[in-house]
Amino acid sequence: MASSTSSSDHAAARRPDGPWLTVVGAGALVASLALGAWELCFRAAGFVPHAIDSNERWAAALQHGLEADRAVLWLGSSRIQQAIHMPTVQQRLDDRVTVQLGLTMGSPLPLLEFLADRTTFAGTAVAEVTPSFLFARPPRNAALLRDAGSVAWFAQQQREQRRLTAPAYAPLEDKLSLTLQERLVTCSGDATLAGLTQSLLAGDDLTPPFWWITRDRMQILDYGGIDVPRFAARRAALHAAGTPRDAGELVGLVANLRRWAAAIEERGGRVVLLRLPTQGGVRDVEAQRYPDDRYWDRLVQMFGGAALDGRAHAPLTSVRMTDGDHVDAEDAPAFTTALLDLLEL
Amino acid sequence: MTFNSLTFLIFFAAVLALHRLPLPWRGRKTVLLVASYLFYAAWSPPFVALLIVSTAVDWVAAARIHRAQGRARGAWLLLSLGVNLGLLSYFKYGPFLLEVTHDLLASADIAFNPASDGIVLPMGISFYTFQTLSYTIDVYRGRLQPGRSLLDYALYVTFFPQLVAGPIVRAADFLPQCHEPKRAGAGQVGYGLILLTLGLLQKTVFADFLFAPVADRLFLQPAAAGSLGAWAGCLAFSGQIFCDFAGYSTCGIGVALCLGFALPDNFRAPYAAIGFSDFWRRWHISLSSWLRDYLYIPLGGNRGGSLRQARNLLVTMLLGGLWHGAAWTFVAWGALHGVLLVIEHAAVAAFGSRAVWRRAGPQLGLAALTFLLITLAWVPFRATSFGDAGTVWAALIGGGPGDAPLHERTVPALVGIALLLLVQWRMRTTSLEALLATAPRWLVSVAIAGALFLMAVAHERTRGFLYFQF
Repeated sequence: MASSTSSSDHAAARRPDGPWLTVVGAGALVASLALGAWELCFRAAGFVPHAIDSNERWAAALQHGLEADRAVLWLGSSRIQQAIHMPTVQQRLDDRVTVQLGLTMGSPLPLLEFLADRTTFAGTAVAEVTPSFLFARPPRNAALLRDAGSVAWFAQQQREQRRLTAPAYAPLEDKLSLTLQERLVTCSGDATLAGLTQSLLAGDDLTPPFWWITRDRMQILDYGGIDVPRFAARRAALHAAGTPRDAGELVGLVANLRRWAAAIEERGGRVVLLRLPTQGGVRDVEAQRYPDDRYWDRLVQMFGGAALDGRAHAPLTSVRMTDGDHVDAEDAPAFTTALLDLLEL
Repeated sequence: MTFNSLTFLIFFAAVLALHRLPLPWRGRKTVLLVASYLFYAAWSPPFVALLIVSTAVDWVAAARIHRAQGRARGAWLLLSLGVNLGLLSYFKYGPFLLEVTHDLLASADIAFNPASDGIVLPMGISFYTFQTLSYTIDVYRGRLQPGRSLLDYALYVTFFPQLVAGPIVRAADFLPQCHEPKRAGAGQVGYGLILLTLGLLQKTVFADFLFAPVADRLFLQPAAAGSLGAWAGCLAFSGQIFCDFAGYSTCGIGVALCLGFALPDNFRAPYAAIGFSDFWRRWHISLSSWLRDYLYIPLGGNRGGSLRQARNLLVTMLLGGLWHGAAWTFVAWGALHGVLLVIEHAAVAAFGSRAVWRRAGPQLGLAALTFLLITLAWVPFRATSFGDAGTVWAALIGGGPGDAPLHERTVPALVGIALLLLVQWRMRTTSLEALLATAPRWLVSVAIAGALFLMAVAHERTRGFLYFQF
């Protein structure tokens, strides 16, 4: 019986008899076989293991950048994740920490604001400007607000960590999970029950993702298994969506940018706005919806700080961009080298 | 480290292997103690010192209480209470108290801007503080002899399966288990692994994968929620917090069993409770029984008439709410439960003797009503402010302005809640042990295989256990 000095009448009675170890062993064996079959099935369908890009990984990268002296931070959308070849950057800037903070369909605004508020940040922030994400009015689509969400999530984590502190074993856990993710499709976030269920519900074939993220958050886009013209058209349509900001809204946006950049630069840091080149249908859409004279040129003029237009430099425009939107992975190292020269990094 | 981490699996395999070495019993207990300190240091090495201080103070205090006479006994008890509650107050409630002071002074136009951000909350401090307090209080009351071995007592305080999130174990349950050499047999290890698997299934598949995304969709942006989304989010949070916390307890009980130790049950089908007294006999049992024995009964319990009982219930539940977190929303959650308990006691006194309540239909109806009210009461517990809680409640009755789309896992989450309620109703009057004893072994193996498979393929990003923050 439970008493005033004992919280339970079950503790002492927990003496289960039976061949439970055999029962568990048999279950584990069956599960191993099923998981092996699952892994093989997905591999046969073309899935490849890779690191999972998560809020935690993004936050860890940001934390790494914040803790380092003179870190170089890459901000923006998947364009900068794909264009910047991180091994090339790390080789070139071997005395500086450099982290990729781009997010799919992201804009650099929330993170720039966050960095401006961090009085200890005095590194370099390269803020990539994708017109349809920066020059369009804030959309209601939650996916397009992922960057803001991630920054908010990071800020929340920071508040919690002030009280809960990051576990000392977190780096070990990260290494272990990365090891599994990069070796097993089952662990890399694509071969999930949710993904399979969604495919089945939508009546689609089991299609391997055509892009993934490496452990240093570099994006790899593989066009091998996709209908490229259709995909490029979808990219163009994506950039054609959204309502362009009017002139007044642009003034407000640039005023914020200037204020944030000034705060960082007062501490000895540096902010560079970067416009990456595009090709084909994406370039046409951008030129039509966000003409330079009303957007990019005015942004640069009102901003008054460092800005680099990649479209004006042949080493950057001559790379292959199969979808018109992202630099092909094979050309990313050369693109990165040329960009680092132009940025004088 | 959390039970759902790869680091823990490696750690546990190593501890299990060391525990099964042919060492003397004292050596194996030392291995467990060192492992427990390592487990805690994996969070934050400096805070191991706090554990050692808490252990040392209560060990000495209990021994002195036992030997002393008269007022000296009370003085040693006060020392134990002062140190333990002092540490808890500083680390857990310090920033909250400063904030309250700031607000009070600000209302009188007095500027007070304390720097409170630097106070880090030591993991599990609420749990091990209550555990060590129960030891000295029981010795003071003469209901427990002080431990004979410091090693045993230190292991009682730090035993890693229950260290950071319970169950809150009583010394009378644990210390006797340290007297006899223990090495779990194959049956116990196997059964412990079943419990570990079940706990991880609850945590990773049900809490994190199925329920959390739907609950987060509501509570991260309450103003955007429509009525359906609000109901789905609230029900999902009911599922999430049960599966998260019960999952941790089940893991802890299973891990302890693999090492030959029996820990008390912490949950017994709480969502099948008929009434709130019944709920608190089934939910976080080790905390509710602690509050009953060390707060409610000393306050007078149900002695002295219904008004006094109501006061004692409210005080106990308010403090129980505050135990969960240093914020007014937790206090409000405790107050809500206190009020519900008072109303229930009054209703039982007025109508409880009628035979109709013992019929199946009304029992089921009362269980459903209990679950509904408990779900509504979780709102301030999960919301980050009263404003958010009010927004959620308004959305529940159709007053929400939002039209955010439902999360894609809403339907599976609602099916999961329905299943959870059915299973709990089935388990209301039985135990897992009894259920497994009659189940065909092959079926248990298939269930284990299914659970392991699901954990591997239905994973979500790793989340910490909710109760760690308490």
